[in-house]
Order: sequence, then C-alpha cells, then structure tokens
Amino acid sequence: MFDLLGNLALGMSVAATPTNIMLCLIGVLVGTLIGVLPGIGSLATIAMLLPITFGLPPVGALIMLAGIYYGAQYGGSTTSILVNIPGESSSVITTLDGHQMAKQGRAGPALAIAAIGSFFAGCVATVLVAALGAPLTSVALMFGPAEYFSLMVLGLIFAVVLAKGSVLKALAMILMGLTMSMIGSDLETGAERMTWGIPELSDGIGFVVVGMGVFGFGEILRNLEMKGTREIVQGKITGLMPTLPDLKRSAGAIGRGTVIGSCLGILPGGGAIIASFAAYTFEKRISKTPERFGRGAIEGVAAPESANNAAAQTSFIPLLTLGIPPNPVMALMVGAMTIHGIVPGPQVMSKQPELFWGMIASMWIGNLMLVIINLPMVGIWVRLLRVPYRHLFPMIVIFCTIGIYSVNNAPFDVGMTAIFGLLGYWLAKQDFEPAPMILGFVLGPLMEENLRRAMLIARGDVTVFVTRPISAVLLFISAVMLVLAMLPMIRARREEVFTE
Amino acid sequence: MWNVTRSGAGAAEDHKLNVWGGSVLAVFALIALVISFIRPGPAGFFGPIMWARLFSILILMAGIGVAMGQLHVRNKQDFFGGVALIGFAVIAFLISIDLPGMRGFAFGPGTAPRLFAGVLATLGLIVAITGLFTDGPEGQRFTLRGTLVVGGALAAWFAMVWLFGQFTAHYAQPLATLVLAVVAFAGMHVLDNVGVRGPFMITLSIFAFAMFIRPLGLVIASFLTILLCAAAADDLQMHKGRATALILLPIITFPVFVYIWPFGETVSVWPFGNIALREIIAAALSFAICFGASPDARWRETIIIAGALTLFCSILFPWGLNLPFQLWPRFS
Repeated sequence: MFDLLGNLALGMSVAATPTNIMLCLIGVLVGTLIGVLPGIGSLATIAMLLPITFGLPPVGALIMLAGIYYGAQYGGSTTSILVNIPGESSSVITTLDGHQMAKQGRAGPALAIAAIGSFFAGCVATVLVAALGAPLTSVALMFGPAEYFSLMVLGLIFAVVLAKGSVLKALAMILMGLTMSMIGSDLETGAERMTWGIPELSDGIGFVVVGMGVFGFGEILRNLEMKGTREIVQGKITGLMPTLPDLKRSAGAIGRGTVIGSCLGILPGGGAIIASFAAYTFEKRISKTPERFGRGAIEGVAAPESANNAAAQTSFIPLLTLGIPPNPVMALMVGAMTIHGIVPGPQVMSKQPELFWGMIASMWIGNLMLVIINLPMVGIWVRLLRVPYRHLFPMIVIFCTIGIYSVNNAPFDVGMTAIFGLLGYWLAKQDFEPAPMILGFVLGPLMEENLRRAMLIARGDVTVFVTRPISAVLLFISAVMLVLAMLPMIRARREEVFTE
Repeated sequence: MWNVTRSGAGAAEDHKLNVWGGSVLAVFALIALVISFIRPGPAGFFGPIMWARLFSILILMAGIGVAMGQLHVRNKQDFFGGVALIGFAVIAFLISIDLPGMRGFAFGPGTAPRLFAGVLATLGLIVAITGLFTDGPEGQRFTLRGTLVVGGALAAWFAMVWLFGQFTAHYAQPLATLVLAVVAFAGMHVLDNVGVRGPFMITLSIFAFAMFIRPLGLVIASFLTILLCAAAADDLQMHKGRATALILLPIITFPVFVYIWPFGETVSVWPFGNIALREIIAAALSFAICFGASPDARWRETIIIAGALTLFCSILFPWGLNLPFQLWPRFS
C-alpha cells in the first residue's frame, strides 16, 4: 500500500511538470477533435496522430498518446449522443439512450454524465492499474515461452468469443492475421518469407499500415456508401449540468459500469466494446423500470460510458506488465513505444519506473482535463459535426496518408495502406470482423517466437503446453471459452447482447 | 464492385453471376495448380505442395460446380468468403514453398507460415461448407462490370508503367498514375454506372500520394490527393465538355512543354532534365486549371477546400511538427 502511494507520488512528480501537463492537454484536445469526426475510431485516431509524437521525449510521447486515446474515446461518445452515429464501435450502445436524450433537449446532461462517468471510471481504473501492476509483473517473470504462447492463445480466443458475429469466421480471421504476420524476415535465420522478392517487405508489413488501412480507409469506403441522413441536434444546447435526480439515478450505474469495464478490460482480447455492451445489458436487466431504456434513460448513458472508459484504461495492464497487447489499440501503442526505444513488458516497470508511473499518473490528469475542457467545448464539437461528410473525408484521407508516409518516409507503406483499405472493405462486405485479424497480425511474430522457443526447450515435446501448470490452465480456459461460445444456447444469448 | 440486389432479382441474373463467380474460382485454381507444378518445392509427398494442390483442386471443383449450377450456394457471403480464405492460404503455401521446414525438433523458417496457412485453409473450408448448407442474407454481391473496371485499371497502370518505362525509367510510375487519374476524372460517369466510384477514387488518391510524394513534393502531392479523394463523393459531377477538355488539355500542353519551353538541360531555372517530368507538371497544372475555370459551384468549392487543406498540411507537418518533408518538386 505504502509502495503504491510512493509510486503514484513519483508518477505525479513526472506527470505534473508543465511540459507534460501541456502535452497531456494537447493530446486530449486533439484526440477529442479527431474522435468526434464520425467514422474514425480510436485506432485510426492514434495511427493518424502518431507522427506528432515523434519529436518528443519518450515519457512525453506516451503521455500524449494516452491522452489521445481517451480523448478519442470521449469524442466518440459525443458523436453518439449528438448525431446518432457512433464515433467508434465502443460507443455504439450510447446512441440508444444518449441520442434520445439529446432529442428531448437534454444533450447537455447526457454529455455531462458521460464525462463524469468516464472520469470516475478513469480514476478507479488508474488506481487498479497501479495496484495490479506490481503483482502481475512478478507473475509475468515466472512465465516461460510455453506460458506466453498459451496466454496469447487465450487472448486470441477471447477476441473470438467477444467479437460479434460467427465464431468460426472470427477464428478464420485470426488465422488470416497470423498468416499475414509471417511476411518478412525470419527472426532466427533471416530468411525472407513470402516477400515476393520485394525489398520493402523484408521488414514485414507495419502494424500502422494494416490498422490504418483496415480501420481507417476501410471505414471511409463503407461510410461513403451509406446514404443515411445525419440528424444533428439543432439549436443551442442549454443546461449542461445534470440535475440532482439525474445524478442520483446514474451514481449506481456508473459504479457498476466501472466494475464491469475494469474486469473486461484486463482480459486479453477484451476491451472497450464488449464492456459497454455488457454494462448496458446488465443495467437494463436490474433496472426497476427497464421500459425507460431506449427512450432516454440517463443510466443507459452512464453505465456504458463508464464501462468503456474503465476498460480502455485497464487494457494497459496486460501491455505494461506482460508485454502483450490485449487489443488493436494497445498494439499500436506497442508500435509507438518501439519507435521510442521502449520494449513493453515487465521490465518497463523496474527499469523505467518514471515512465511507467508517469504515464499512469497522467491518466488521472488527462481524465480531469476531459471533464473540465470538454463540457464548455461541446458547442465547438457540434459545429464540427455540421461540416458535411464530403468535406470531412478528404481531410481524413490526407491526414492519414501523410501520417503513414511520415512513419518511415516510405511511399511503399502508403500504397500498402490503400490495399489494406480495400481488404477492410471486402471483409466488411463478407461479414468478417476485422478486429480479430488485427490482433492475430500483431501477436503472430510473438506467438511464433515463443512457440519455437518452447518447442526447442522441450526438445520437440508438444505436451509441454499441458504439463506446465500455468500453461495448462490458460489453455484449458481457452478451450472452455471456445466450446461455450459454440454452444447453441450461449450463442443465442451472445447474439442477443450484440443486437440489443 | 458490389450492388445492392433488389428483391426478386431475376433467375437469369442469378445464373449469370454464378457462371461468373464459378469461372473466377476455377481460373484462380487452375493458375495455382499450374504454378504448383512449375515450381515444386523440396518438400515430399505430404509436404506443403500437396496441400496447395489439394486445396486448389477443391477450389477448382467448387468453381466448376457453381458455374455449372450443380452447386447451389445458399449463403453467398460465407461461401465466397471461405473460398477466398482458402485461396489466400494456397497463395501463402505457394510462396513459402522453398523455405526449409522442421529440422529435427527445431522449427525452420517455413514451419510457422505453413502451419498457419494450413489451419487457415481448413477453417476457410469449413466456412465455405457452412455457406452451402445455411441460409444467409441475400445482400450485396459482386457485379461483373465493376470488377472488370477495377481489374482493367490495374492492368492499364502496369501497361503504362512498362510503356513509359521505355522512355523514362525513373518517372514511369508517377506518370502512369497521373494518366490514370486524369482518365478516371474524365470517365467519372462510367465509374458511377458500375458502382465503384467511392472505392476506386479513394484507393487511387492514396496510391497517387505514394507515387507523387517523392518527385513532386508535399504541396502538389497532397493537393492532387485531396482532389482525387473529394471526387469519391458521388454528388460531384463531371460534364461531358469538361471531361473532353480534361483529356485534351495535357495532350495539347505536352508539345508546349517539350518543344516551346526551350530550357531544361541548359538553363536551370526549371531544373528538369527530363521530358516526363515536364509532362507530369503539365498534366497536373492543366488538371487544376481545368477545374479552377469551371462554372460549377461544387467544383470550385472543392478546389478551394483542397487548396486550404494543402496549405494547412504544408504548414503543419514540415514546420508545426518538424517532420522531414520535401515541399516542392525536386528532380535529379
């Protein structure tokens, strides 16, 4: 406990310097700005804004990126409430009640409660990250290659189970990601694999390229086809602050949402999307007046918004302690860290404590900023949303394009991104979920490395994965999860959650 | 590429699509088979090459079955999605065939790729089979013409790169991209008719950035990219007259640049020693002039936005963020 406080104090001393506060502020602001634009999720936002952190010192860069992440998360909910278009998938559920509230002229309270809920959830999650960091790190040090491999299998299985749509297709997507990740040089022998002799491919395909292509450009291609009219809440938004009954009603929802979100966020493969769905469903089920949901119930905004923010922050835990990105956004953070010469994993906490704790403390500051800054700025976001899409998407495309080019100054990367954009479009058309593919793509090289190492240490004995206890437990959980997800009864429930 | 099918689309239409879809599968499978025989790897009978052949034969059979109408596909999304995944796995097999596999109990560089590709092919097979036996949404499907236009554009690009490569090796790709862009602009109604305008123009615009950024610098590259990208929105229309002008202008300005502009090798005011570069600039300028002079409000608005955005990017990225960008054309 004392340790924890000492560590947080160290973090505060790093995060509270004027420069870092400034960076956090810029990150949160820019993140919200981009996150508000419809059709850009947090992944595309971070990928797009990655270049602006290149020139910064590592701590500052990570603080800014984290700020961008939850700024984007919050921006997504703003769009959901005001335009009925989710800014990203984790705020889909917010549209149900949030937009209804906005239609009833209560956009102000809806936005405020989203911000307050996010802030509360963020605070709790920050403490959780700090508290769980050290013990999980010591667990991670006991992990050998076999355990790491099994843990990644578990993460991928979670991603399958938690993705919406067919389990089988999600599995196929993971394998597709894994296969794609094999492109490039072999780590041990340096042999060129599946490169067609193209020199640019010998380093593999960058994660930013795949993520930006599939999630950024692919999304734009789909949005262009949708001829839906955007009904933006007209008129001035008055009465920002929620009333006392509002607060009373949502207090419990925020608490429950935070708990659900924190738990789901830690799980590998989980994350913000499932957290918000689960929190909403749960809230509706225990409510005394479930018929109010979908007609502007403030709990229906408070619970999912707290949950997705809590999950967004606790998903840093597996990354910072085990070095395994639990979702695509965290995978992008790995990329960002590598650019600054940091290898995510248990050693970050012991070797660079000021970086680890500074980043955690900055999450607090960032969440506070979101509440303070965003409420008065709602008017600006509304005005931004009134810009027609035909003017927005060229802007998005050119920023993304320049962003990708500046990562490596490589025209080849830009061309590849265009191809992945088409791939993302095709996947959406065939009803394949891209998220498991991205996760497979990110974990592919790590999985191969650990699999090879485990096999080598065990002298070719495949049973090593089930004879080592931790590994066996992890694999057992994955198997159970997979079987459960395939069972017809559970499958029906799962679909119910996603269609609600 | 895709069209929303109206309810009760004719059986004849359905038949045509099946023939088309099946033939594509069959042709792909045949090519894969031929390659697997031309380039057999070192592997033995149960090695990767056999897997590649086995799955190719499966795709071939499925393709023929669909084309002949023997195989009734109930869920097109799943069936064709699954088959595409198998195809992807077959390609992965074929290009990783030369890589050494297991050595004793140690993995070789080829082990993991083929392992993953093998599982992928199996899963793809299951997905495809599910598509045969369960009903799916009768939603969107490929249209022949859309695919042909995209494929044709790609083929044309490669042909042009080869052609221009005969004169100017260094600038063949940007030049080919520019010609493609101009033709796409002029033929916008064709793209609209086949329903591929959005994907085509956006992909082209991103490609264009990749091609132009090195020779032309940030300013011109981003301006052209934004312009191409904005044309993906289908309320932007192109009049026949302007389309003709767009095609003719570069052709007319070409000799102007080549013959009337007298410097190049000798005077360094316009420091290009290369005819193709003048052509790129000429086409780019005429491209811009053509729209700038147009009476259509939407185009003028688009140009203004593109200009403003270009200015913003040119200030933000090189100076605001201090990234190493080359702003203006620079030629060697």
